[in-house]
Amino acid sequence: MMDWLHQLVAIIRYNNQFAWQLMKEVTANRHIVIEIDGCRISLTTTGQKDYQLKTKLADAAEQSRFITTGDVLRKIIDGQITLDYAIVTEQIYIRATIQELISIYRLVICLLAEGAVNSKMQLLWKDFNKEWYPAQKKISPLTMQEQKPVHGILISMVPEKTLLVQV
Amino acid sequence: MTKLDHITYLLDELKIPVNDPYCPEDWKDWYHYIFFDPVTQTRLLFNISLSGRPGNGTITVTVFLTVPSGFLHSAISSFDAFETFGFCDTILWSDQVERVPLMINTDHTFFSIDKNKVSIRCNHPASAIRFSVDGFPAATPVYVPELFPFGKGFIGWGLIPGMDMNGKVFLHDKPITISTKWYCYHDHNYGRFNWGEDLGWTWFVISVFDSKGIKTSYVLHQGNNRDLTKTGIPFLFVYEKDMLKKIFMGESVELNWQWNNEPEKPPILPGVMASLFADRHVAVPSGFTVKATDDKDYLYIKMKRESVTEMILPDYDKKQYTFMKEMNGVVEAVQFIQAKKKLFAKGFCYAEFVH
Repeated sequence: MMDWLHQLVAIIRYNNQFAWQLMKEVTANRHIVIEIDGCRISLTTTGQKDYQLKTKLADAAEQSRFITTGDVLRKIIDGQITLDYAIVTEQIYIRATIQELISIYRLVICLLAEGAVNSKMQLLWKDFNKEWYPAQKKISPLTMQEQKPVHGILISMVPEKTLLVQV
Repeated sequence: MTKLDHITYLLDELKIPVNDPYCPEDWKDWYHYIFFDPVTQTRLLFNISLSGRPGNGTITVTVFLTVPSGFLHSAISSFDAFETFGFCDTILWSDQVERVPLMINTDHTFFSIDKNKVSIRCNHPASAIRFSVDGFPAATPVYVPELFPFGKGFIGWGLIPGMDMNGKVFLHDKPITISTKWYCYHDHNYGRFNWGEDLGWTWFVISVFDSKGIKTSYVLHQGNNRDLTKTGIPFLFVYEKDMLKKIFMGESVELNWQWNNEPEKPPILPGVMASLFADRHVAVPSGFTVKATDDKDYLYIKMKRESVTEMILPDYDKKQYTFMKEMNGVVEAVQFIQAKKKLFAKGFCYAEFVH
């Protein structure tokens, strides 16, 4: 996983300057522990000018701020669910401010768009799909009509009384 | 029926100059098959598409399987409601393609055309679809090497709107048998252009049977730009019992789309495009009419769209997209050809609107 993350940064750096600037803007000078299928990795980045990603296995004492599974990532790539739906339905657990969430959303959409037209990203994704914990062996296929992204779900979770509060 | 082997070979040979190390990257070549069961209305679309050249090109396999609702999990109560399963996989093109006989062997798919025999094997565990079909051309092949300007390049195609195919499809282990009683359509398209250019086309195949069980099919192709303000010369082929009976073309063909007032959000393939374009509502056709008439003959077709899915095709080089609406619908048709009138109350239509 750590190797894949470094490859992802390298591909973006040399293939899409817009995504690269956005990646630096969103992730520079940060530290986070992510957890995918129980595998906890600590990510630390340096500043925008000499941007570097450092990865190591996370210390037990550090809390994960992003938790999900490989299957959820696959579902997002396969268009079965959207990123925001995965967050709201707790298929992705993330602790961040709303501003950080918006930035992460922009970056993920940018990476998805690049992945659709970049053969190196596709190879990386293929590697992940093959090597990471395989998807459930017996799947129940979804119809394409069930591919219904739900929008506005974040705001619909806020109670009406709260929405009506005058500040 | 008239089967011309040399025409079929010319039609189906791979056009991309794969052995040329300087082969331009905007070459495209794709093989398209549609299988339709007139009894249950079940249909299967298979498309295998090559783009670029070995080393830096791609191979894309697209499958749509539409079955009566309830087929998978419960009993089928009617043949009026349908659900679609499908996938679209793109892989990098390395050494998967043999030119003669044509053979494409990817992770999930084997496709070959050897002395007119077509074989397709597909096993895609992630979408629980697998199938195996074999067969031969039955209808008169028509090769249209138009090579007319298309976008910044050109496009050409050929069609065989009748194939005798046999095989089995499994959706999550539930079998469907494809036999020669099914209607099977095939075309092969090729050319040089980039997806996302100001180009597109309208294409459809219609299969109808008269009261005596005689099969008639109609195939139309017309180029267009993205906003339909410019259209190319339409070709409308009429087949009866797998024989080419009539071609209407040019100004004798009038195609009119009808559009829904409310924009819709059709299901999208590939999946990553569904995630990218998740918040987008688009205008989709509700149907079309076609009127074709010349000094002697007349044809009128009315299609009512039942389902629509969207393919979004990205261009690797230019980073732009072409949008392809794939539609199923029912048709009524009236024809007066060679002094004989025929009415068709209900037929099947598979159409593409590309922009």
